[in-house]
Order: sequence, then C-alpha cells, then structure tokens
Amino acid sequence: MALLRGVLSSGVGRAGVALLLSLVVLSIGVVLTFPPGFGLTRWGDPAVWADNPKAVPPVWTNVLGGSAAEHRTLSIGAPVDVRQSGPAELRTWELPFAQGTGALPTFLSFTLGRVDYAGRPPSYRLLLVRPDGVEIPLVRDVVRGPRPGETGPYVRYADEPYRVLISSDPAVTEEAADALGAQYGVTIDPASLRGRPEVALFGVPDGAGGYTPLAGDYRFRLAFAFADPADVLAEAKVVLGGSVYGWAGTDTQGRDLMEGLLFGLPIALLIGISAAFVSTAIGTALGLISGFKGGRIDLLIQGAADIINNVPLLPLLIFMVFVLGSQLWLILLVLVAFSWPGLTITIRSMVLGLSTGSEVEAARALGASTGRILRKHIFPHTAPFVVTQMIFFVPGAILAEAGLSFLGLGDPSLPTWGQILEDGFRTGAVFLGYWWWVLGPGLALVITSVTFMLLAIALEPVVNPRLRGGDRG
Amino acid sequence: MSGFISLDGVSVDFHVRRGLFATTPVHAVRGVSLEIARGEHVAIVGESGSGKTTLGRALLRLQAVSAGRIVVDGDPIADLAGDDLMRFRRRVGAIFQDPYASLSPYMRVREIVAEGLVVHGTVPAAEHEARVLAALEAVRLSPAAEIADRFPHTMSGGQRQRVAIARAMVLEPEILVADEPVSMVDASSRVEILALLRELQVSRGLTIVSVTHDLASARHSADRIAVMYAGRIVEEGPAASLVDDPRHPYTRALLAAVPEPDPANRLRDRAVVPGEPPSPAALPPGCAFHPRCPVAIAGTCEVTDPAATPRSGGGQVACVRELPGA
Amino acid sequence: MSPLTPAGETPVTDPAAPLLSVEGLAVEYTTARGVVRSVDGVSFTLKTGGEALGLIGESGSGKTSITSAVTRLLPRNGRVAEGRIVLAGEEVSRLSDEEFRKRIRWSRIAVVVQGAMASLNPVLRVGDQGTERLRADGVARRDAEARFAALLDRVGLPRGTEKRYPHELSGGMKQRAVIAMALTHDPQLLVLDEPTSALDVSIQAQIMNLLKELKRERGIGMLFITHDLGLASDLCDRVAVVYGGQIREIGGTDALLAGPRDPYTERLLASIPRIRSAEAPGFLPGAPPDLRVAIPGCRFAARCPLVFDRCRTEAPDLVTVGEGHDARCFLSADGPLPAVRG
Repeated sequence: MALLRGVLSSGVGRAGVALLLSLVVLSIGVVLTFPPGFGLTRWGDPAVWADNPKAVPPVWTNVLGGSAAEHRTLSIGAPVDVRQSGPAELRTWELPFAQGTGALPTFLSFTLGRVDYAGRPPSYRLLLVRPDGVEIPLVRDVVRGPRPGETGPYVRYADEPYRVLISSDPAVTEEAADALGAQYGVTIDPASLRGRPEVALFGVPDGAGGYTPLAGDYRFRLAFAFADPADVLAEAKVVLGGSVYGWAGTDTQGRDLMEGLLFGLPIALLIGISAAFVSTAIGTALGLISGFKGGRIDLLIQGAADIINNVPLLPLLIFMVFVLGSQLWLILLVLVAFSWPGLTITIRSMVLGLSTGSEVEAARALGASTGRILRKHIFPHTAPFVVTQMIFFVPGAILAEAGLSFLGLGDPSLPTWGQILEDGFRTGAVFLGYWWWVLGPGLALVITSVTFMLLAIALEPVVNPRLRGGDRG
Repeated sequence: MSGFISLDGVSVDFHVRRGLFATTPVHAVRGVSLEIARGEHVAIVGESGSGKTTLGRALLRLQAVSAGRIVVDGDPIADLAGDDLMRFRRRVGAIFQDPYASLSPYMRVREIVAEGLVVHGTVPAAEHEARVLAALEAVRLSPAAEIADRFPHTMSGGQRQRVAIARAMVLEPEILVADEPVSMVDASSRVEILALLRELQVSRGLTIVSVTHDLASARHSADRIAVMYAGRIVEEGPAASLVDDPRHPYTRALLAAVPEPDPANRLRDRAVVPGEPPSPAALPPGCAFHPRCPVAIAGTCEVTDPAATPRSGGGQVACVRELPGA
Repeated sequence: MSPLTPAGETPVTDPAAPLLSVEGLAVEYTTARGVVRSVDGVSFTLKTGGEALGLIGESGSGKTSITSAVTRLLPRNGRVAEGRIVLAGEEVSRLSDEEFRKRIRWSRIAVVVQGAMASLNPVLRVGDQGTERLRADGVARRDAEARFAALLDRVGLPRGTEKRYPHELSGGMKQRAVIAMALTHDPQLLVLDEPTSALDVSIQAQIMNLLKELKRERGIGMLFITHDLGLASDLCDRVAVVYGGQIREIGGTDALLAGPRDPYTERLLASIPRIRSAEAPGFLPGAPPDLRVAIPGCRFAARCPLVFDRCRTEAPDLVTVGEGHDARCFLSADGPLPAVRG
C-alpha cells in the first residue's frame, strides 16, 4: 500500500499507473469479447477477411486530407415486398446507399448467408438500381440444390456463406455495358470494364471510353423466389469495398490490424508479466538460498548463474525454435530460464549483508528456523528491489518475444505484435508504403514498454532507501 | 561461586581468507574462563577487537567455540540439539547493539515481540496478545496496546531498544545476553534502559551478561566487570572494586580514558597509553598488552603470557605483577 | 560586530572582533511534511586566541545544523532562514557559495566531520589528499609536501604515512590524518563534529589530548559538537547546551558544570554515569520535542521535573545569570535550581 502511495506521489508514477490500468481494462475487454481460438479460427482464416479491402490505411488518414472510399457493408433487413404467386413466394429486399462523386468503392461483393428450403431450391437475383433509373443485374443464381440421396428440409450456406465477388465477374461487365449502352446510346466494350466495373456501375459514359461519376441515391435490390412460403433467407449482404479501413488499416489479406493489435495486448501482457514473475521468483529464490545457505549450494548456484549469464540467448533461442518448433510456452520457458542469474547474484549479495545483521542474529537467538528467517527477516528487505526488477523485466520479455517473432520464430497460433510486424516486413510493407502495418504494432510495443518503465522509474525512489528522503526516527 | 554459567577455557578462532588459498587464523577469544552465578549481572568490557562481542555470541550459541566449553546450568551448550536446543533458546534471551537494525522494519511491534512465542509454540496462540502486552508493560512501554500497533520507525532509539528487550523477555528467559544495549541509544535514555535491566534482574532473578565498551555504565549497572583485551580477560572482579582499585595496567588505562565532566580535566592532558589495540590476526608475543604497557617488565612481558591469578578484592587478574592496591 | 566589509571587497580582518559571531541563526529544512525550523534564534560568539566552544545536544537537537550553517555544508533541503554569521568581522553568510568555498572553507574554517575516516578517498594516498588543496592554491609540490609531512608528524603519525593509502591505517591514525589535512591552511577556526564518536575510548583520549595541544600551541578557535558533556568539558572553555533547536544554556564550562541554571543541563549532567562515584545516574525521561509541531511554551516542559503552569503557555527567553553565562528557564534568574530527585 505504501508502495502504491509512493508511486502515485510522482507525476511519472501517476502516468504509469493510469496507462497500466487502461491496458489492463482493454485486455480484459479483449479476452471477454474475442472468440476463443482467435488466432487460428479468425486471424488465420482468409475467408473471414475476404470482404475487407486489402492493404488499406486506417480511416483517420481521411482527417489528414484525401477523400477515401468508405468501407460499407449493407445487410438485408425485412423484405420490402412479398408477393404470392401460386405456391411460390417472391420476396424483395432493398439495400439503399448514397454514392458521391468522390472515390469509388474499391470492390463490390455479395454474400449469401443461411438459406433454408423445403423442396425446390430458391432462385435469386441482385440488381443495382441507379439514380438515373438504370438497373444493372449483378448476380443471378439458384441456391445449391439437393445432393443425391439428400432429403429435405435443406440448409445451405449455414457454415460457410456463399460469396460472389461482383467486381471480377465478367457477366457483370457485360450487363453493365448493355444497360448503360442502351440508356445513353453509346457502345461500350465490356472488356474495357474487366476487373474494374465500378467506374461504369457508378458513372455515366461520355462516349469516348471515359465515365463521369454519377452521384445520388443507389440501391441494391435482392429478389428471391421461394418455392415454399416457409423457406427462409436468414442473411445476405453486399459489401462496397473501402479505400480505408478501421483504426489501424488492413494488411494484404484484408485483416483488420486493429483486431490483431487488440488481441496482441493481452498476449503481450501475459508474456511480459508471466515471464517477469516466474523469472524474478526463480532469481529471488535461488539468490536467497545461495546467500543464506552458502557452501556448496552457493558455489553451485553462482557457477550456474555465471554460465547461464554468459550463454548468448538469441542464437540459442533460434536454435531451439528450429529444433522444437515455435511455441509460445517454449519461448517463455527459455526467456525465464536465462534471465534469472542477474537477480540471483544481486539478491545473494543483499542476503550476505542481511544474514550477518542483527535482525537475523536476533531471530536466530530466538530459535527461528531457516525458513522463517528467510521469509520474515530477509525476504521483506529484498522485496522492494525484487518488485522493481520484476516491473523492469516486463518490457524486456515483451520485446524479446517481439524480437523472436520478428525473426519469424513466433508461435503461429497466436498473433502477437512481433508477428504482425514480421508479416508486414516480409510483405515489404515499408517499401510498398504500407506504413500503418508497421506503425500500429510498433506503437503498441512502445506504449506497453513505456508503461512499465514509468512504473519502475516511479518505484525506484520509493524502494531505494538512499533516494528516500526524510529521517528514519 | 556456583557456576550457573560456566566458561572454561573458551577460545574462538576465525579463518580469514587471504588471497585465493591462504587463510590467516584470527584469535578472537583466547582461553576465557568465567563463572557467572544465577541472578548476577556481569559486564564484559573491552574495546573493539577485544573479542567481547564474539564471546557474547558464543554464549548465545550463535558462534561455535574452537576450544573450551560453555556450560549453562549443567548442560554443555555445544552438545545441545533439537528440543534441548530450543529449550536453551527459551532460557537465554538476546539484545543487540543497534535497535535500528535489530528490529524488522516490516513488522509491527506486536509481531516483533510475539516472534518468540510463535517460533516456540509453547504458549497457546490465544494467550499471545496478553503475553505481548505484558512484556511491553514490563519494559515500560505504555499504553502497550497502542505501542503494539506501531512500526519501529515511528519510535525513538530508546523505545526501540525497549521493544528489543520485550522481544527477549516474552519467553521469560533466565539469562539475558545484551550486546552493547545502550551504545546506540541517546544519552538521555541510557540511564533508563540500564535501570530497566537492573529491575528485571532483581524482580525476576534474571542473570545478565552484558557486553560494553563503557566502563562507567558498567560500573553502575553490573555486579561484576570482566575487562577483555585482545581476546583475554585481563581483570575481573566486583564492579566497585575493579573501578576503585584496578590491578591491571590496562584497566587503569581504560579508567583514565573515560571522559568525566570535571572542569579540572581541561587543564591537564589525559593519562593515555600509547598505540592502539593489536589486531586479533597479529597478536604480539607474550602478554598482548606489553607493547603499550607503562609498567612492562623488559625480558618478561614479551615472553610470558600471564595466567589469571586471584585478585585481592575478589575475582582474578592476569598480569605478571598484580599492581598494588590504590 | 557590524560587518566592516561589503561583500565582494577584500576582507579586512578586525582584530577587535570576535573570531566567530553567530547572530539570531535560524535553519529550516523542507521535508515531505512541510518546513521544519530545526534551529531557531541561536546566537553565540567565539573569542579569538584559541577559545573552544562545545555545542552539546542529543540527536535531533539541531547542533549539527548550527555548524553546518557555519560551514555551509547544509544538506540540499536545508537553508539559513535568518541570522548572520560573522567570521573575524567579515559577514561570511553573505558570500556566494562559490566564494565561500574558495576563500573561507578549508583555508579559514576547516571541518572535521562525523565519521571523518569515511571522508578519505580510498584510492588516493594520504599525502596526495593532504596536499591537494595546497597545490590547487598554487603552492609548489615540494613545499606542499614538506608542509603536510610536518603536520602529519605534528599529529603523531609516523614518517612515511603520506605514502600510504587510507585502508592501511587504523581508525585512530585516519582520524589523525584527517586532522592534519584540516590544518594545512592554518585555519582560524576548526569545526569538529563528533570527531571521536567512532573511536575506542583509549584512542579517543589520545585524540582529545592532540586537540588540546593544538588549541594551546596554535591558538586555533574550535567549535566542538558532541552529545557527550564529559567529552566537551575536557576540551572546551565554554559550552552551549542545545535542545529543540535553541540554546538552553551557554556559559563557561566550569560555572556550567558546577551550577547548571537550566533544568535540561542539570538533568543531562545528572544522567552521566560517574565512574568514580557510587551514586547512580539520574533519569531524563521522554524524548526530544518534535519540531514539526508548534510548541507554545517551553520546549523542555514536557520532560522537565520542575515544570509549572507558566512553562506550558509561555516560552522562556535566555537570561543572563552570571558573567557570560545565560540560561533559558523561568527559574534561572532565581539562583541555583531546586534539587531534583531521581
């Protein structure tokens, strides 16, 4: 408690505590809201990110000037029209959106979620209805029918949504060329729109092969013909790809870097705090034993400390990852196994001083056991130092993991900041100008390290009696 | 003298490492024999390096002896082990010089004083609080309940030393070994602490062995004084007799060096012995005091290490010539 | 007593002025819990011609703060809040730190601090440390070495000590070496802060003898800080008893020892165990006052055996009770103090 009060008495300490609290709260939020197995089932699954724009900067770059296309996802609500025709039922949904004269969507995609039908598979159409009245068919298809031997009712696209990338569908370019050509009396070569039909979808042809953007209210119309009124379409959406995305941008797979950064936070804290805790615990315990017991045990521990202290850690880690595979717990284990000697040596020298002091003498004269003396009369004196060392060690461990991941030795099942950095670096993010890919994880590492540094700096005068003001009486 | 505590030819040697392999033997205590009666306060007086603190630690069995033996109430303490050793620990309390260093700054007074009770478990836990408060009252720390809640750093040196005494007394020991109990306490509190020790001695029949460099305090607090020099007891006897009628030249030198608030002192130089006490690692041959002795007999004192002989006023003295009484 | 030289000009030493005059000194420390005035209105003078004044007090009494103010060695959170310090007619309290360090410290006021042995640099030979300031002041190496060798000889150190390192010397020898170093510039004033407290009694007596000799033969003024009235009476012509940041009693050693006129002095004297007397020393119960708390009356009232109502509400001033003998008690002026039991 006195420790906390001491830390809070300085501005540095208050900043450190405030940062730490925010990081912890954020981590708890992430742990509670992110799906289990995020690394493999979400981060590592390209299907999840298919609808995201690839390698686009964060949205806040708009503030800095530049007009970027907003990333929009339009999902169906209630149908606007339901019409019976015999036993069949025709349902229509409309997805309105506005399009300015600015940047065009970088792509268009249509995704169909769960469809339930009893007998015959429903058929459907997706149209783009433009402000000038032109309607361009985008998708025309039938839900996948029964497989041989399968009996109804049938469920489709429940586990894996059915996705159509409208932008790269040659049929769309042809439909657009036809529809616009008819409306404006020009001839359009569909091949000129291949791969980039958006200019035509959201523009007016000028006859010379160019297009003037057409601003106004657009809508997608989705019409479904169900053979049975009980058939259900649970979900469908159209995505208008943006040229910016999220608070941290996306990588070349379209992954939202913000999610990766957020998920990396609890991992970083876990790595840092657990490695720091275990390593300080080992270092302290060995230091106490070494200093208090003396003799052979002391020689053994100090010998081991000297050897381990002089083993180059990085090459060893690289070697071990090659041999045993890259797993987070392994990396932690090695970090811990090689980071205790410094603390052990310091604690031992503190113990040597304390164990001949009169507090320990008095405890011995009372008949106190070795364990009690260590616990009650030696450890408390080293505790403030140990706590500071532990806090100092946290950023070290986080950076060590980041360093290893950056070298490609990270655990692939858990995206960490180091791995995001490594991904970016391997893709050549720096040369391609994908600066956000490097900035995010870099900043996250810096903020986390600074938090613990601030705490340690604020703790230093609190625990170091030589820096502590005032008398002892 | 009935030897409640009996020291018989006690020696303590240390081996100080010099360089990589060589060790130098250091003779901290050399053949000390002393009988201490039950209920007596014996002060061991000496300068730094005289071996007085080492002797005190040997008596507490915090330091093994190299030769000789220490017998407490019939038991040679070197042989004690297990339950017998724990019983010895309950019988012998200890107080140390520095009341700032000897109390844990992380414990409240209550926990400090109760430590002996917790370690030994001979008193039911329910009675600990009462015992602690009684011990605090006994050392005149009141209100005890309020003091028990405090941390040592909020207390004065004198109060802390009382806490240390309470910690030693809570197990109701028969013997108290006090290493310089007042040397780091403010001058104004010294008298009270020494008076407190005297009171405990009288009211509980406590046997006290104190170690000090302060002959004047020893004269007023102890029944007997043993003067140590270079690991030996050079003179030992009833406190008043030893101070009023010193027979060993070193005792005389120590007495002459005590600063007394006497206006006459200013006008004359102190009668001092030259030089400094020898290092226990390099003792002079013969009588260890001879290089500084004003009455050394050339040809004798360099070769003869005098044995203790009975002293006319009681006790013993180790000098080739017992000096005539004053 | 007025400053004869404005700051900045070459000082003119006034032969009629006392060697040291401290007037109305107050020292304040800024602590976490506010400002503490640990010295409050302290005045005394030290005559020329080798007078020694003892400052006696318990720990926390303010005795060390007084001398640290004189030597400008106050810790960083301390400052002289009020008062003047005049050295041989020159108001040294008005000098800048830089000027004080250059012109006054070591050359005119030399300091031997508590635990002086620790102030020796362990990696420099004694001779190099002793001649350092002389050499810095432009004295030729040969002359500086000769001067320091003579001083080492004077303080009773064997020949060749200047070539040895501090760790090769015993505690007593180191203290002698430190005293020799303090004397290299023939200072007018030697400030001794508990110079013997870390030494054994027999060595302490040797050092006290040495100080007495130096005082006699050099006429050097001495300010001797100690908690031990007996030790102070051995060397000092006059003593000032300091308590709670104030002088309780100041006077000639003989008069003060023979008839203390302040109850604190009386109790302090009574509490010293006398080796040659069977009479048990007296008690001085309680602890020194906490100066962080304002005390309305006499600062000794809480511990005083003679306390009466007035003491708790009104603070007594120093009153003159004899020639050069002042005491701070309402009873001081009424002659010898009534006897106290205990």
